[in-house]
Amino acid sequence: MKKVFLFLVLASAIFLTSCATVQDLVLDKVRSEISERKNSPEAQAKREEAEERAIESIKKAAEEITPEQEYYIGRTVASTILNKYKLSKDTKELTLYLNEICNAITINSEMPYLYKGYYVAVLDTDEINAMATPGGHILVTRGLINCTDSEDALAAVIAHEIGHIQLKHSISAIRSSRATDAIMATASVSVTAATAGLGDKVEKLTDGLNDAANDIAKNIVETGFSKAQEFAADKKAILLMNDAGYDPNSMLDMLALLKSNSEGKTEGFSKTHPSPDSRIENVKKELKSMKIKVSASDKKIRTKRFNSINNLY
Amino acid sequence: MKSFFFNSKELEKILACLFFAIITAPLFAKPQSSVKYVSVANVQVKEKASAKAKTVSTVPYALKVIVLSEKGSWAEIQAEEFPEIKGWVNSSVLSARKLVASQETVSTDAHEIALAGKGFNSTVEESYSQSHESHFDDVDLIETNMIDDETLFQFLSEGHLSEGEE
Repeated sequence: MKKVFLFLVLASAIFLTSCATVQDLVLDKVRSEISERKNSPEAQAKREEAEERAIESIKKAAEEITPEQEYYIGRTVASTILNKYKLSKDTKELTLYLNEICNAITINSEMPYLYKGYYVAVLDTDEINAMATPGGHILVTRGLINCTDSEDALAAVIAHEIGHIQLKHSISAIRSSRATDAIMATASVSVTAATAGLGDKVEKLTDGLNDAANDIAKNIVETGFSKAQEFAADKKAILLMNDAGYDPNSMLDMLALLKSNSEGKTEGFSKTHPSPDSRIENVKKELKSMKIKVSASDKKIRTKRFNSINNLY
Repeated sequence: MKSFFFNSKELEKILACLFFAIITAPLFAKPQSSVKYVSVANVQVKEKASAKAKTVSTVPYALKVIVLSEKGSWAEIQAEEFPEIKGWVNSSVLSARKLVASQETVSTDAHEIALAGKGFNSTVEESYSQSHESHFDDVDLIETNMIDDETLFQFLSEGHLSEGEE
């Protein structure tokens, strides 16, 4: 540091006492000196170290987050999604039906309970989309429901969202350090020096909550999960469906329906999911090794009640 | 160096015995009951290891419990601080990790009281809604869509779906 200081002093001395051309020369020399230090291997190493620390703290927060914190973040994510889409309030029977399907799937899964539970709600839009928050809120658009032709196909949609929740994909979308700091403040029972006093500063926590919800909502509504996460959710969905007694092949029917209904569209799930074709290929592969429980007569019974609900709207 | 009480061979023997005793001690120790924490809000504790059994009590998030026995995906628990709370819950609602509720504390431990109230909770949510567009009323509405056990089992049975683990 002494060297740099002396250099700058000398440079400014020459600068202040000399003519324009010499001044330019000195400025250029100073600029290149600074840029050299910025791009020096030491600075580069320091940046990489900071990046690695950030990635580590994101990973740690995702591992350490408590069910209660996931719930509150989930509520704020749901609230953020409702900034864009309106909650449908005149579809009582449909909403009840969707929740029954959801519970039928979760009760037969390894994670039947969340902090407050799983809930499905309808969004008042023709856009074709379904979204899930880490708090257990599953939001399905009217547009998507109108694409389905059976209870099993509807179950496929819901099971896919349950898959995202049970695989904790949303939490991995959190990037902000304000959010990860807030999460870590309550994660372990011992308060560390880094987070001491953070836990009770409502203002700081509000910022953390805002950041966490925005990171996740952006992921859900704009960019989408990674291809690997989407395929994982599809794989989880057909397992969940099979365990509940639904026909996992209905996932293929659903994807085909989505494909034909979304040709040319750029909004909704088309923006945030891999192509239906690639998902169909992936699901077909997984179905090959599956022992399917459902019978055709079971499906028929369920399609009857699906139609009776469908006819109400 | 000259030893004061034993010669080195005797010391070796004693140390060997001590070492042996230490590593085999766990075999003779009393089996430790499993301590877990309730990781879901408002869990129904059942009389028997079945979702269809009678509910004997409802327990809060972060409650410290002892696992008495296990049966499939069910665990028989007893609350450490309130031994009258005893019954069966789904194992998935239990966490080995110590939890502290952010809304309120369920223990009288001073350390836990210091930590309770920290983290995201309804106070933080309220503060958030003061400075951001929010729809928590609608989110509350979404969370009213609860399906009770009776309705669910009827839905499962009518739709020829699996009845969950018994």
